[in-house]
Amino acid sequence: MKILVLDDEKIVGERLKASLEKDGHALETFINPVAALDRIREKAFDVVITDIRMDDMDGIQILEAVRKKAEKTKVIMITGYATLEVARESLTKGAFDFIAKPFKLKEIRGAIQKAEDALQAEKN
Amino acid sequence: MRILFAADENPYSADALLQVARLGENTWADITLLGVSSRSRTMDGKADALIKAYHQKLLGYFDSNTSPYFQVKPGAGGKGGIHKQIITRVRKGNPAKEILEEAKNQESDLIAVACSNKEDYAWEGAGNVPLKVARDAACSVLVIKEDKKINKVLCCLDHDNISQESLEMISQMVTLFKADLEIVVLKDSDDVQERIEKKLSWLINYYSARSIFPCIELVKLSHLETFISQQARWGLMAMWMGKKSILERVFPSNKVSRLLKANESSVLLLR
Repeated sequence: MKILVLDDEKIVGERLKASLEKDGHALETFINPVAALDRIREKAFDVVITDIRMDDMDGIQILEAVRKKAEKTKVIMITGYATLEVARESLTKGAFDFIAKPFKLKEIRGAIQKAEDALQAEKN
Repeated sequence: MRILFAADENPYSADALLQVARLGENTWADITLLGVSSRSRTMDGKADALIKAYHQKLLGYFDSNTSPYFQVKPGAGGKGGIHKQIITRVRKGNPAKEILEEAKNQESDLIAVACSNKEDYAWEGAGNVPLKVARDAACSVLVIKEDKKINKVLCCLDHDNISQESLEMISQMVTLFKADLEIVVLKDSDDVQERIEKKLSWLINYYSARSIFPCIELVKLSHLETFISQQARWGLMAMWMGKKSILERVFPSNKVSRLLKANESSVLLLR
């Protein structure tokens, strides 16, 4: 699976890259939302994992941009400050999953597996 | 996140259910509602009925158009993402043991349990179940005290060894309760001042960058018990009890129980 990870905490991207590449996924990690969005416009990803609260742009904007550019791409939102408003907005704007920090790797792995299953089901 | 809410039949459990609902909906957590019946056969139906009632109450809390616990209706904008589970379980036996066993089986990230304001971390008529769960669980535990409004989160961290998970769980609680944050940094008598200040500065920067502006206080480990009994009458006391934490290393479990009993607030034990 081609996965883009966007989190302004570098440690999050590094941790996910180290683990998920071992599972056979191809990861690109970003800490800058603008750079990530440029990359999303250039390349089709199966899954985008994005933090919600960042300085230049929030994860909801990333979600909207991805839904516009590549409807099939599954967007997994992660957040350290889960509020009802953001949770509801993520749901209604079509996030595939929403994972609150602190998360365990198995949660991310589980969400990616479900995204893979959903993509496969859409193909068939 | 997977939350296990262990409930008894008292009003404090019913009240705490709403806090769990809020946390669940904010974080899209899978929720397990657990009731424990005693070994007597006559209790079985009671626990089943209780958990069914809590399940209905929980579902009634959510808006079916905007909650991850319902299928998103066509036209609502959702695109068929993952739907989160609410499951109900009833177990027989010793309540604390059964709660811990269920949390282990479910691989819960957080056990939430409510308790009476009248007694020390106890379930009325069933002894100190919340205290035992808080003390012995392998995962984080939130003990919600009856009638305690959470305006402030008081958080005890080691300056030397702060896990990312603790910082993140605290952020979630501060956001959930719209509370102020006070961080108590624990120090041993032989700690180097410069090292402590460096870590404090890092902590302030970490939270400030996230629009959380904590008060920070240094407390000697030997004064912690007194400090807790003086300060923790408001809100939520959060303590990191991970394997590498000072509290876990230097406090035997009976001392942890004493610390909890000295505290009048709700408690979050982070692991």
